[in-house]
Amino acid sequence: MDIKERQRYLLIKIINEGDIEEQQLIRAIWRNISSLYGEYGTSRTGLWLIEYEKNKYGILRTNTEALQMVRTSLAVMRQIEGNNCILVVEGVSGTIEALKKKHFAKIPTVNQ
Amino acid sequence: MKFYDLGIKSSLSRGQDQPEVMLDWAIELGYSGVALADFEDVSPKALKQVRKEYSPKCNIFTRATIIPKSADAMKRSLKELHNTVDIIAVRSGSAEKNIYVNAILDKRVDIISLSELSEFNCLDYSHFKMAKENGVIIEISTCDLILKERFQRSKSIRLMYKNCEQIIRANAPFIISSGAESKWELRAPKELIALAGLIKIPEKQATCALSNYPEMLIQKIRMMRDPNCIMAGVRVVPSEEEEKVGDTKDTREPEGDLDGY
Repeated sequence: MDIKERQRYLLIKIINEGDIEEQQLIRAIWRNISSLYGEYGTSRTGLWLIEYEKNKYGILRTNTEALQMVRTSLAVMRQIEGNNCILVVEGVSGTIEALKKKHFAKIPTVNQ
Repeated sequence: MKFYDLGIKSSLSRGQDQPEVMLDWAIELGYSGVALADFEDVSPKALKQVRKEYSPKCNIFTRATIIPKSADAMKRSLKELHNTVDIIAVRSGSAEKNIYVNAILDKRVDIISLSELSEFNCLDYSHFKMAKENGVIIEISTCDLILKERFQRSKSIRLMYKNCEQIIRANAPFIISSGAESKWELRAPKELIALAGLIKIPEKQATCALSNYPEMLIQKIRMMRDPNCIMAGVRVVPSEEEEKVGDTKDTREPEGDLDGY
């Protein structure tokens, strides 16, 4: 019997120079996790970019077990396509609704 | 909970960004206090205006990091800087244990800084125990984890992990700092806690390293600034008689003023 993986959703605030396209962000996050934890570690994260508002915020989904790995690899991220960038995890929650309800206020540019 | 990053650099020394820029970003990332580590050669007066401007939002401390070539050179630098900056940190810059031992035993030193690979190699459990007994705080800079890549980063993680294990075993107070030289190298407190997990520092202790231990150091600094303080732990307390005299003086002074009118 398959055991359903428990998920966590992360709201990330994007502070950057220049523009970042969705694909560029995904590539950069994967590259960072892969560089830090290797291919095996990356395979365990079940990472997915659920939502992205250009240059403002993104919502990532990951396994509960891999949450710390994802946070760490976001912390070591410095550049996306040559542009300086910081990804700040504003909040973590078990559902997207709860995440938006609790933490969207922390991103002033987001319209609820 | 209040978080502190006690090791950021601005354009006053080796950093790339103005102190104001670094402070704005630190506040945005959620820090209640920062130490600008620029004051080995620069006078803290350069920061006077900025300090005034930011004082309600963020506590600003001045810090000097000494990298001496010998124990004597360290003592000379300590003598010069002791009364001019808030925090004095010492780094050996090499695998020189003697400098660290002298620094740990010197009451004027607040922080023993470990940021380069060679520095992580030279201290062990006994040094950390000694640091705990002398009230010296160990600083772990995460800049290597952020800035280095691949082989260099894995080497740093291994050495830092070995050191942190001993620091935790010795129960020595330690702080985690970003060592940021530009605004892009600053990280939010939660991100630094996550990075600490990479070197096997438990979350609870990493939180203490960003909050409780820096507060402990700040309290020590405030105590040292107190004119009644003679040395760490020794403070002049006015006797009851002196207090009474003080009280009568206080009541008389306004009367004198009124007489004048």
